[in-house]
Amino acid sequence: MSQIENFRDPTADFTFAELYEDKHNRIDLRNKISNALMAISLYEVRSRSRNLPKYIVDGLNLSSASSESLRCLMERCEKHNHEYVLRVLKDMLTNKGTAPITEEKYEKYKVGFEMVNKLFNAINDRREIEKERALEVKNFLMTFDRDIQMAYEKEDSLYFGYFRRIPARV
Amino acid sequence: MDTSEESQPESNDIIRRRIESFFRILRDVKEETQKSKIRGLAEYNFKRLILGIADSLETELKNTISEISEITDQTVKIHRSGAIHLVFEDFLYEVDAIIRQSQQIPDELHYFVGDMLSRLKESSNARYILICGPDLSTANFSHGLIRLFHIFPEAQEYINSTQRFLWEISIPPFLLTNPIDWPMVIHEIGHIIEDQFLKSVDKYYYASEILAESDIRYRYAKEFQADYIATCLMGPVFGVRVLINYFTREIRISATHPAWKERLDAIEEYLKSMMQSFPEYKEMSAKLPPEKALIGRDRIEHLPCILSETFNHIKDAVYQPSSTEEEKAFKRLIRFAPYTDDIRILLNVSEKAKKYIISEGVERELVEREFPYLLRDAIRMSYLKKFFASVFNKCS
Repeated sequence: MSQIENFRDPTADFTFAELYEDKHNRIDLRNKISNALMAISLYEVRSRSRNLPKYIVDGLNLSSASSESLRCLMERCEKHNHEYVLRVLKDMLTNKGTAPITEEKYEKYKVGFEMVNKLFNAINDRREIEKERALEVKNFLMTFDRDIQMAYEKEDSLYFGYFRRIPARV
Repeated sequence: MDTSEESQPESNDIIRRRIESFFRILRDVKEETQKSKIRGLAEYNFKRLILGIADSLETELKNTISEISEITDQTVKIHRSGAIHLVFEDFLYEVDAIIRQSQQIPDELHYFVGDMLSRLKESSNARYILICGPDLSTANFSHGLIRLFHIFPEAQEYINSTQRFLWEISIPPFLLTNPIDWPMVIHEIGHIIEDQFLKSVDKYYYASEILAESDIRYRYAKEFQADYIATCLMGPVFGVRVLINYFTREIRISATHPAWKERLDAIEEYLKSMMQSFPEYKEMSAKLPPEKALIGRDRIEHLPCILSETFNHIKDAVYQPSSTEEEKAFKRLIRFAPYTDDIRILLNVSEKAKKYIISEGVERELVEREFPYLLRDAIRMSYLKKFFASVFNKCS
């Protein structure tokens, strides 16, 4: 992880286009979390919603990408395929690079995403899911989403601030 | 929020009505998009995209209401409603910014950018919207929307199948007024050429979101490449404007960009290889304060290969100055007459012509005020001349 740690986070200096990219990556991730939540809830009621298969795929991808990213962070991988979620997890675990990774936080996410992965594998295999397990996973995903929202409040306000800074007349 | 079973019917009703309120918002977006005038060549593309998305969203919202009515977990319903709200908030900001801020762009700037792109065969198909924004930067509006609408698969599919690239180029107000600064916009066109057509940097460097060295190399390579494209297409005027804007400190450079001195050194090298000079930089380079970039240009070891591939893509459009034409343009401009044969020659000689007029005793303030209008007129006439060439030929 030496490469990752060597560079300061230049988000504060981002141009509008860079903030735009960052914001849309974040919305994309939060949308996947929302889809995963919908997948569990719709599966529980045996819904025939046409979007359910897509939501299930999102849940599966989210859990495997997050677990893989956590492994990458600990093993200091040079290359990986899950860029944005890796960045988010790194930011969460290191308080945006200001602190070393804490074992407690790491375990929380590791256990959480393993749980998500297990549940989505069961859903994908059309197996029965326990109500308590489903509730635990939903709570974990909602907490993860809230963590993201809080961690990037500054970036979000910078992004919307750019719209307000656009001059009305030249 | 009270999520007990007794409060559920009331809460369900609130959530449903909240989602239904987006139908009215969508109707307003459609209406405003239809009646708005978007300057430039991408008006049809923008309108088709937004109207198509709005239609897809109407279907998707109906589907969401049905999904919400099926599920029993109240917190998930509230969460979904919040996610939809976030998506709409951003969508409305983006559409509104484009509709309002595209109005601020002078037609002549569209003619200029259109003229430059028309010189590049494949890339002339690029669709872009120019907007007045807080800084000079480019984003793929369509790609942003694809991610934004991840909770609405039909809208995502619509964008993917109709308009995967629609570029939004943000230009700050101080670059809008004087055409002599417009070559700086070609740096952004350089990014579009790479990201939509060339994809040369991707072959050598790894794009990453975690801002590690690999990512900085990727980003810096793209910046050097965009400077290279702008220099090749525009000639020395691009470097001169970068240099002058650096000293006026009007352009802010983020940490994701290389240091100014390295960019200017590179531009000087590019010009040398094109047998052109950059004397302004020689005079001013000593005054550049030391700057520390995240990494140096020497760390981007594949940059020469990237630039070579880039050259092959744009070689037919490279600026080749002609002393006869430059002389002709200069002579017209110093008489305050528009030169309309080649916009690139016009902009490359304009600073020299302006200085000459001032040295001849014409009041500086008057020249500074009127010269940009002369350039704008020249660009407009150059566009008209090109556009109506076939008509003129027939008449003659």
